[in-house]
Amino acid sequence: MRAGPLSNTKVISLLNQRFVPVYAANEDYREGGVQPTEEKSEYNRIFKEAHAAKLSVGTVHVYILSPGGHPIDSLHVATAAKTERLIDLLERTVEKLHVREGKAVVPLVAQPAPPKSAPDSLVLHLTSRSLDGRGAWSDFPVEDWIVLGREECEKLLPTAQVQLGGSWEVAKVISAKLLTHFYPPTENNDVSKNQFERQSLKATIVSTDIGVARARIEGEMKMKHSFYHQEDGKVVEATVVGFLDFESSSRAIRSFQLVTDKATYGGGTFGVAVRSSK
Amino acid sequence: MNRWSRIIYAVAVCLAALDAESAEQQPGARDLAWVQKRVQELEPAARERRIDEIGWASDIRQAERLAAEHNRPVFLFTHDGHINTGRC
Repeated sequence: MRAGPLSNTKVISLLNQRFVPVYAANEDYREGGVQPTEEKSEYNRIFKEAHAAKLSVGTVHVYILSPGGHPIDSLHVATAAKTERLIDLLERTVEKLHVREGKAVVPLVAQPAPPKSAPDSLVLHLTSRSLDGRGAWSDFPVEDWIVLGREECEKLLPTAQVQLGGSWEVAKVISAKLLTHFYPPTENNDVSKNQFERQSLKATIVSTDIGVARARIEGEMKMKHSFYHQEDGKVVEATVVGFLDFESSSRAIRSFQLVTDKATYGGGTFGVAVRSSK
Repeated sequence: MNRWSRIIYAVAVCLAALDAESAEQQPGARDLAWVQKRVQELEPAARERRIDEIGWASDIRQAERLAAEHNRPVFLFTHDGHINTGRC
């Protein structure tokens, strides 16, 4: 959907000018999901009403609700992903309800917004993409946010006094927290299922200018990651390189960048970039 | 320079060029400028983030409130994973 109709200019215009668009991640609405009870109830009500109205229903689905909040049409994702079919649904709805054109009712914001975090935490943005269209989804890159709290940031830094040429290995728990997201776009995104065979990040101070130390990071990893949710024996192998700038006295991290040098998965190659956003 | 000397010289030049190329590809040659360029190359381009051009409601209840207020239908897409990050 994202690479198809939701990137189409006509669909974008129709959604902004005639609809109130919203998406709902199913896992957030299941038992134990992050959405509040009232929100989950609304999700379930729509599903049940659509079923009772004999509309097509499913978990990966498009539903059209009337201005009063009742389901009036629907499409399975396999159909909705065809741009012309989705445009037909939207235009049919506009005509049926005589929807007047207007501006988007919700301001545009970047969708993968940074998570809320403590002021002294390190917020990292990760991008991963297939480089050759093999072994992974290749329609568009995927993103993640990784937040390291103050205590976790300390584990990125040297325990000894900062001096040129000094090196250290980043605490395994922190390198694992970063590198577990180093896999290409796949159906399976449950990182708790990833299994490292090996992983390490080693940092070396390469400059110390005006109270700011710069460390060069090198690392490697081998990690089992199944494409779908069943075990398939597929493995990520990667070498990484990056740079970390931090204040020598306060040990505040100023910037962090880490990229794959070489990365393979499932017979294809992919690239990952991580950078600090604050 | 005789014919054999010219051939040996040409081979030596080619080997030196190959050696220089492989040295550039070693991890030691990956400097800050290379890393910064690589980050820029890998990050999503605007054409890959067109989902940001849509004014999405934050949740179903907000969408329903706005729909009633503006007399518009709701477009609800339910999905597995997270469409905002593409991990779906």
